[in-house]
Amino acid sequence: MFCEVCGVHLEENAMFCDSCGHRVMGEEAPRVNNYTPPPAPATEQATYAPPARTGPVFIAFNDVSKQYTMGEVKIDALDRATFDIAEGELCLIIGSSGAGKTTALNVLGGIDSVTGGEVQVDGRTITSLSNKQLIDYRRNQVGFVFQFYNLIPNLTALENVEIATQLSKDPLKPEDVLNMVGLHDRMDSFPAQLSGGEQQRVSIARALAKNPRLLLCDEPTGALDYETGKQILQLLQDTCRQTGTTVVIISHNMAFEPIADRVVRMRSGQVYDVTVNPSPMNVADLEW
Amino acid sequence: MTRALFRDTLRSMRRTLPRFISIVIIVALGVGFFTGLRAVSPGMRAAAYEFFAELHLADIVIQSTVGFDEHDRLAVLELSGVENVTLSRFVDGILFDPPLPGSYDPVMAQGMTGAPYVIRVIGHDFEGYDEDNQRSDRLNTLRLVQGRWPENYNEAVVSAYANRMEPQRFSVNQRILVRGDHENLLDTVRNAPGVEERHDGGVIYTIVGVVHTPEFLAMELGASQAGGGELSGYIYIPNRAFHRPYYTTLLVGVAGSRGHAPYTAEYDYLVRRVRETVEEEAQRILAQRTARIGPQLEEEIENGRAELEAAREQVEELTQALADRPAELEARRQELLAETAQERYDRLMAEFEQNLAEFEAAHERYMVAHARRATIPYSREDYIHAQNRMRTAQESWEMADMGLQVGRAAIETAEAILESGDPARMGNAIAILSIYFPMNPGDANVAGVTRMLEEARVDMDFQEIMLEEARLDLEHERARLARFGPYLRELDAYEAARRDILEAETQMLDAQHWLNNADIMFAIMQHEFEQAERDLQIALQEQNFGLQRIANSERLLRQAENLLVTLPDAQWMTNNRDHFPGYTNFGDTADSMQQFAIAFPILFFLVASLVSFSTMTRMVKDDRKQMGMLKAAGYSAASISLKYIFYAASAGVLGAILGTAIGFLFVPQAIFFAYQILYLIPTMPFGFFPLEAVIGVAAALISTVGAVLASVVVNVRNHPSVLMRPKAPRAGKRVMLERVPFIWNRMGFTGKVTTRNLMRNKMRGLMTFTGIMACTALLVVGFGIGDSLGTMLNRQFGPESIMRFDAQANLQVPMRAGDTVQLEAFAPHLQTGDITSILPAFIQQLYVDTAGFDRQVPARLSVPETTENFDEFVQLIDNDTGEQLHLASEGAIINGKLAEIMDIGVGDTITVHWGLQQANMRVAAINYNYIYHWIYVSPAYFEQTFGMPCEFNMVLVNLNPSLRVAGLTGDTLATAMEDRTALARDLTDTVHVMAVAFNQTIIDSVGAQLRVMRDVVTVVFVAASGALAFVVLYNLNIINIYERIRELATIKVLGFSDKQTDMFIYRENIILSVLGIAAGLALGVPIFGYIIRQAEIESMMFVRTLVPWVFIAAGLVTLVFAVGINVVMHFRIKGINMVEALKSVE
Repeated sequence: MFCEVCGVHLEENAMFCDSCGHRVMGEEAPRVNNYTPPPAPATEQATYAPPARTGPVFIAFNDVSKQYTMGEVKIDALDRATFDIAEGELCLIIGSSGAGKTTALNVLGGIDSVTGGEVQVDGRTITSLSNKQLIDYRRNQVGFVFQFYNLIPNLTALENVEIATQLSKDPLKPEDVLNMVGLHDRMDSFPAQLSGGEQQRVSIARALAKNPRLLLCDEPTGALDYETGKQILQLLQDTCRQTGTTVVIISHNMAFEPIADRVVRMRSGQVYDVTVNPSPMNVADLEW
Repeated sequence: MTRALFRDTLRSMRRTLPRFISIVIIVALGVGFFTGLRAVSPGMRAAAYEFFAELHLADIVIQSTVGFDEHDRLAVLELSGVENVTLSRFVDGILFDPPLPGSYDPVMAQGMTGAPYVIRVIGHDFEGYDEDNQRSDRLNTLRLVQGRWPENYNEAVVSAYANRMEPQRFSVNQRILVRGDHENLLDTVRNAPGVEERHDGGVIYTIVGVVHTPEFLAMELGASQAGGGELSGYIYIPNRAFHRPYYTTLLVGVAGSRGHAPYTAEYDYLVRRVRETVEEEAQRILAQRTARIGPQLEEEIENGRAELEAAREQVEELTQALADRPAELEARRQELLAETAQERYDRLMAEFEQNLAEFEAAHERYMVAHARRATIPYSREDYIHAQNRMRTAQESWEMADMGLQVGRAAIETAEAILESGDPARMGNAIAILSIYFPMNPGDANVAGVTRMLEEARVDMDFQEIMLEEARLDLEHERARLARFGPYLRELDAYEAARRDILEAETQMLDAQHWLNNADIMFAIMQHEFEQAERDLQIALQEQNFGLQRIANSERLLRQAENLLVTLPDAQWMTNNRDHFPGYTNFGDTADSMQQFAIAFPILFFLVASLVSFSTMTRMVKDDRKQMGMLKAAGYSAASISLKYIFYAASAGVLGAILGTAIGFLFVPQAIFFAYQILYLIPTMPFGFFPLEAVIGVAAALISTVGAVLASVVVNVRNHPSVLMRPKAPRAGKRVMLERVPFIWNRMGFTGKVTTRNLMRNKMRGLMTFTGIMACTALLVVGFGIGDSLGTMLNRQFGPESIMRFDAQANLQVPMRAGDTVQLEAFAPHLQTGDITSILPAFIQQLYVDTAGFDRQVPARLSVPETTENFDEFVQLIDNDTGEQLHLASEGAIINGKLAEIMDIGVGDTITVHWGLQQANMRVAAINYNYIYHWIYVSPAYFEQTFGMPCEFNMVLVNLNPSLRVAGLTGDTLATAMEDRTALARDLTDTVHVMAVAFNQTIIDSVGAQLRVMRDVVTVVFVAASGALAFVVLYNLNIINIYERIRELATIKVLGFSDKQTDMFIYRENIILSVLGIAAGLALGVPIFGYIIRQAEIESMMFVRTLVPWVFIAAGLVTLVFAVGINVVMHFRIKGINMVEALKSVE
């Protein structure tokens, strides 16, 4: 990676150029302690009120903060983020790069810690679980779908699903899940032999096969073309509807908003708006 | 390379420091091992060169059947090519240790194999050394490292080797006794003036210094004509101490030889030419010598006969003198044994009591007498006084009476003369009267006489009155004396009683005195007896020495006679430096190190290049995108490659420098240190060997830069757009195993992934496998050599080994078959069971060669008196079949190593050289043996080949198990040791046995040295293999984890526990480790087989087989290394940050 301004080589995950100080990552900077972001419009702040709930609260983010240090700079990835998600909802977390949505998802998935506040899932405070309990939580409660699929290249589609099911307590039959995602004829293919959409479907199948209460998807369409991305969204919506699994999708694409039961909008690590959609649109009808 | 690119390169080094360092280390290991091992051989040669040059080691050694003198020296010095000639002489004696506790006689010391400790007393002219202890006027000089040069005839210097190995014997200020072997040492050398001559003809030398000598380089010193023929040590004494100008050896220095390193073809060529000249001139110089010494010899023979006669007379005298000794001793013994201390005490007590009783009786009598005495009014003094008075009175009376009668007679005579009136008789009358009465001569007439007569008559009357008074007095005294009469008996009785009691008291006190000092008395008697016994022993020994003197004189005479006969055939034996013990072995060792230096480093270089290849490939792969961008920015392929080349080259060069430094500085010194147990050469110079350094650096660069080029070139040629696109991850592939659903379906996912991964990353798998294999193989070799060194002795000596006997006794006088006199010494112990069996044997060190073999090898000839129960003492096992061999009457059994060296087999003939005698023997079988070379023959075959009956100089002894020290501890050990020492003392106190050596002693002392060597070897190998395993496994695992970090993060997100995640990586490691260990164990066998043979020295066969524990240990230690790495990796894996790992995609 190189700095776009001065051309100096940068470390893999560098956020700032060592020599000229140019910001490398994303369009918008996360808030830095010596940088004061423009305050959110007062009207919005004032009008924001928690929306009516559609069901019992399943996920609760209470004043969650995540601060980490990079060199001498402190960064607030989450800044007192607060929102709820009800059980069985398809929730969309929207925000641009660096808004903190991925951190929120990681915390929810039990793979990242917080520095303040608490997160409850189904009444359990997952932010205070031990490492062992977290492993158990990840194993049985959560299904994760990544932007870049993260399939094990050495395992076939079926085996990639099985790798998840062999862990969890009450799994679904891997073949059934793969059938469900429309891959009944590609079960024995290796990831390299599958298209991006197919890989993502394997990834979803892997997440679903564990029969989780919560499905977390990090930009699931980010690496896919329009048509494929739509199919994937459809799959996720169908899953939510048919199995009652709570699905959380993060995306920077606001066009997806209509399909969600609930939309959480983030900026600079803060949740600045949550809307509940009483009649979400079917993915098939969505155009962007 | 632009500055930016250069900076980038430096940064990437800093960022990937562990990776950089790991390449440096593996390269350093490879180069270090290579240069280090390569440097050993030239280093050893350089050490030898320096050492030999400084101490002027002779190039040619000449020995003659007729000896040398100064004339010969000058004659040889004149030959062309000869620069320096030195005469040398020595005498071989036998070393004695101080007496055992409770004994008087010094104990004969013993060498490695139990033969008498033959010590060579070498003459050396110490005067020639300058202030810095240097000289160049003679060959084979000495380097003084401690103390001073000898000044007196009874001062000596010892070698540093002996000083180090046996400090209890050979330290400065210590004194050692050297006796001649059946000869008087003083016949050959002088003792210091004023030192009393010992009855055994030995000399006590005081060690005054420690030296380095080039003459003896090895532990084994060669053969001797003395003792059992095993030369075990040597000292240097002043040359002037030798009586005769007869030299045994002529040392020759070749002109220009100091300019050539030993063991080189140039040196050998130079010396060979001069040696040929010497050999050509030998007869001419010999002829001169024989002409000179012929008359001398005749004279010597004459003297020898006289000496023999004198010796015989001496023995005759001694024998006669001895005749009464045993009877006398017996009398004393009887006296001593007649009663025990208790009996003696009881007797004295009885005597005392009797005396006491007598005293008391006397006392009683005395008291009675004394009481009576008290009643007597007079004392004996009174009585004596009275007696005296009476005696005085009597005398007075007798005097008066006699005077009266004489007076009367005179008067009567005078009257008669007067009456006759004869004037002639008148004179007579006066003379008669004047006897009694004083008369004047003028009165000599009648008137005068008449008047006188008248006076006399008056006087006579007076006298009569006096007489009467005296008589009365006497009467009185007599009456007085008579009063004592009744008391005299009483007084006598009293005085007798008084005398009696005094006498009884004296006797009683005497008895008490003896009673009180009974112990001392007994001790005095005992001492007197022992003194007598010892006198007898000394006398016997003197007789024995006398007998030896006869034998010696006979031998000398025979030798002189033989010499005279063979004078016309006198010859020289010329030798190269091979003559000096250890010279050849040292060169061979240096050669074998050369072999090591090829085998080992290849292993390391292979691994080093594999590791750096995989590391660099990984780095290049990581940088694909950057390479694409640079290329798009217009950098040439070459300048882009430069970064990686620079990275690799700097790691390679750094590693090479580090490796070269370690290699040249430490490795040769460490190995040389270990070899100092075998060789005397004291120091090795640090050496820098440019060629080796260049090869090392080149190999390092090839394995690093070459690896980079291989991967960079492939990539950098691509179009930028291709490079910028991430390279598709390698597709998963089905493996053969999947076609076997029976197995495949039973495997877990980790198993499946592992199997496919192994197949996918064959290269990396191969490297891990190779690394583990090399590590295990190294350990097999290391532990194998360690086991070999550690167990060799126990396989050679001890109950379950080849030489099963427990001890060997050296006989004073060799015995012939059927003799039993000498064996009497053992009889009591055979009876008590301390000794279970004995077997007389002839054991002699000598030299052996064979047709077509260019030199003589030292070996030991062993001939048992009977072959019947020989296997109770020595187990002969066939080298090939492992079957037990039996000594037959035709042919010799020789050991495998000897057969190997001389390249001979069963049915071939060997020639055995024993002094001037030699015998051809047919090889009947070849046996298994580790230490030294042994030739076993039956007594019949000995007689057949040597043409004389065998005389047995040793007795092999098997002990009762309770006296075997091996395996005992604590009190039992102490008891066994005491019993053993007592047994040895009992045997050596007899006249037949000179010394007893226990094999366990050899096992203990030599074993300690071998164990040090074993530990050094083991530590070196474990360290090297550990370093290898660590670097390889660490590096490869890091790469593996790095490459699969997303996979690992993913499965962690899926809920894999730490353990399961570890197994995702470990499974591969475990399988590869297990396979690598198995292959390493297999590979270790041939490498060990090769190396153990290279490491062997000529006189030993190391244990060439590997025992199970070596494999178990090698496998386990490798496993420990592997597990250690996995533990480190566990923390690496645990530390993976899922968020970070999943955040970006390449």
